Amino acid sequence: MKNSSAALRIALISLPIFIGALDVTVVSAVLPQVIYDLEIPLQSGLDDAAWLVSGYLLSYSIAMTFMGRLSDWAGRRRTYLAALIIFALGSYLVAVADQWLSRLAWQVVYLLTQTRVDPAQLSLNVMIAARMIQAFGGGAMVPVGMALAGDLYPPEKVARPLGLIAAVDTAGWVVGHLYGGVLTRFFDWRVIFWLNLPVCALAFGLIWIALKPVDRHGGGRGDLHTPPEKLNPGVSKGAARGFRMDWLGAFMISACLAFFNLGLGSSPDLTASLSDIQRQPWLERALPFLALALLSLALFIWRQSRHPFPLVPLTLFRQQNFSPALAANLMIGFSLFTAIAGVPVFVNTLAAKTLQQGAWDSGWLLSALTVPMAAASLPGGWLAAKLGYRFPSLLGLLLAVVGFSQMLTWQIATPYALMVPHLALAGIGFGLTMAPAAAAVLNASPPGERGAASALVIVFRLVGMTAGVSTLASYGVYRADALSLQWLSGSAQAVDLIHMGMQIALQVLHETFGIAALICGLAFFPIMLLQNIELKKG
Amino acid sequence: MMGDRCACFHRFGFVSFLLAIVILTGCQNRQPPPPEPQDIVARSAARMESLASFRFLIERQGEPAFLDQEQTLSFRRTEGYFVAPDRAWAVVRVIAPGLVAEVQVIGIGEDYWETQLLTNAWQRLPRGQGFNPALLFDPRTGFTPILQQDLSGLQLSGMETLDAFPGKTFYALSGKLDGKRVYDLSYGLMGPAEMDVRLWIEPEIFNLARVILFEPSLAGEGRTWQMDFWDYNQDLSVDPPAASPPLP
Repeated sequence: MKNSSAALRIALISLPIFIGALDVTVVSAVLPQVIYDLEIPLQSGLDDAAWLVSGYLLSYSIAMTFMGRLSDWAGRRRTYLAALIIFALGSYLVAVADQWLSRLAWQVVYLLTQTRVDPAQLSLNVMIAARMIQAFGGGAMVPVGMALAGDLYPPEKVARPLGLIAAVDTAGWVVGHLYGGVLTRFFDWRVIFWLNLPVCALAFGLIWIALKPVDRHGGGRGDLHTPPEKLNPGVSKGAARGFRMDWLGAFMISACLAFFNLGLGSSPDLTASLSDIQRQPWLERALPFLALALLSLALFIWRQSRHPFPLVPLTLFRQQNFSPALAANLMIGFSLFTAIAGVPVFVNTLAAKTLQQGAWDSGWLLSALTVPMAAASLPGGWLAAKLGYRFPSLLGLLLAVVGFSQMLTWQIATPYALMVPHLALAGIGFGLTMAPAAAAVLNASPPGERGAASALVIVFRLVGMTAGVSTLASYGVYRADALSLQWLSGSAQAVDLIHMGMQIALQVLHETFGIAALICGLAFFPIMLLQNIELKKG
Repeated sequence: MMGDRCACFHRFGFVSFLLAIVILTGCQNRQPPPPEPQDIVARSAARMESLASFRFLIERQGEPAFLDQEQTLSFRRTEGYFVAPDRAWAVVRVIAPGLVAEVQVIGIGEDYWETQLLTNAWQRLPRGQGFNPALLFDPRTGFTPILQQDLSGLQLSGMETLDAFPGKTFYALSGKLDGKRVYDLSYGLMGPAEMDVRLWIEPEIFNLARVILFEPSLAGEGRTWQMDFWDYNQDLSVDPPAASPPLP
């Protein structure tokens, strides 16, 4: 296949990937407006509403773990287009979630249970489900796109299109909050999701035509650059003859990620009583889910070591630098998303006068974090090539820690102009670290497995991001409960509740930014384990 | 001869068929006419007063109904249950600029407790303060006797079904409600001008299922109040909160 036509196909499949990634963070800026419009009560619904973000991240990550492998069997074009349809359907369902869909759901729930559920809570649950459907399609497009790059390019040239797809995915969630903020300044937030539909329809038509030759040349359906026996050396050629999709493995990794998220996100309501908190502390709530997540992970690893067509080639983890770089990616994702989710909370709770202004302010203020991050990834990659992975990564982590430390000084009256340099410092730090950490994973992988390795970089970062937002929601709610009970006990009538509520929110945000700084600091350890091996060509 | 007999037989059959239709139609017409609208409402009010308990939902649509003089906190909905003669528990949802919040309330006679917005801790309020749902459904001075006494121009518009009550048909009535007493009862949220009212009452047992009040407005879209009642005579109880600080 000619390079130009291959590049055109990669460009075409990158557009929906960008839109799917855009929707990862698009809600973070408009979440307060969504919560208000759905009439989700502050006390009982805030941690549930966080699932609009973490549910998307979770479903996106789950799809990334096995949909690439599914496309080996079902065909790239078919799987990619199916993912695109799922994404478009999910977008439509999100847009109508609080309208006819919720009314229908109410009737169904009533007929099944004879109970009259709260329409607001039901709308939220319907929207979370719709977001997860949307995310599944959005997430599935990434590994299928990467596998497609593997079909279109020879192994020695595949790194560049893989890098492009990964960059497009990152660019999507980097600008998502700004896109959401800008749109909600002029339109209803539902427009964000309606706009996905014409883009998806156009992309569907173009990709349908563009990928026809790929299907004819056997894209997917066993046309892999890496034969199964190489993916898993423990399995004989005979056993690997006919492709079998590892559905059980897919179920296990999905269960692992879901339990992990449920564990981190388990929190009492915002107004839980002291006895509630004392009766069942956070760790006690989280522990059963985290134990189940660990068990599912162990079963998944066991399954992958035996299956002839593993979803994740475990041999990759034996490569030098691979595991420490992925661990660093996980921690970076956690810290980064703590800022991405925390800044809109700060703006909406403490600074903005209206929700619309809050969405707009959050959007552009977060750009002070994400734009320097994207810009710094270029010198980060260059420095890694010149000086090795460790120096730029450690420098980046140091800057990120300093940035977060400065964010701990934010007060209710702190002007945005003072926040911008703090966010920019953290952003530059993340940018300097992310490029070398991703490059370390790719360069540790054999050429035929770079698609899987690229997908793993994104999955680990996403898992970190999911953990970040879940922790922010559950820890934040838990601490807000405890602080409210501590600071507001006694003569409640005499206290200015709104002012005290703002102080509590500020304290909780300081603590979560502190946790993010701590996790950044912990990322020093895996980065120190990276060996400065010579960078491979391509 | 045979032809005459056959024609006679056919004529007899046709007459019998007509007769059967007339009899069946007559039987249908003998169904008792629906009661007078005033009678339906009176029976429904009596039925509501005799209930040991019921669940309720009061929901506002349209223009905000403010709970405070500064017009920052507006009532959105309340859902809870009433236990005769004078106890009620409810969750009240209020809307402030950029914020939706819920408070729980308990009313036992004129005694009243509510939860604090941030800590969820129960606090007892002085009599006459707060949104006491027990007074709203008091059998002597509450909403049901007002409905019976202050309604005018009642008309029965027929039988209707409601989405929230699948499988049931109701008498659908409409009329006007004098808003003065409702205004006092609802802490100034509804009324005091005359309101359009629609009622849905279950035939035979006369359970009141839904009331919709519409307050027209010169300034805006107006305000609609929907009240639903269900789960009659269930085993429900309302007790004072376990721990609440003494009255300030």
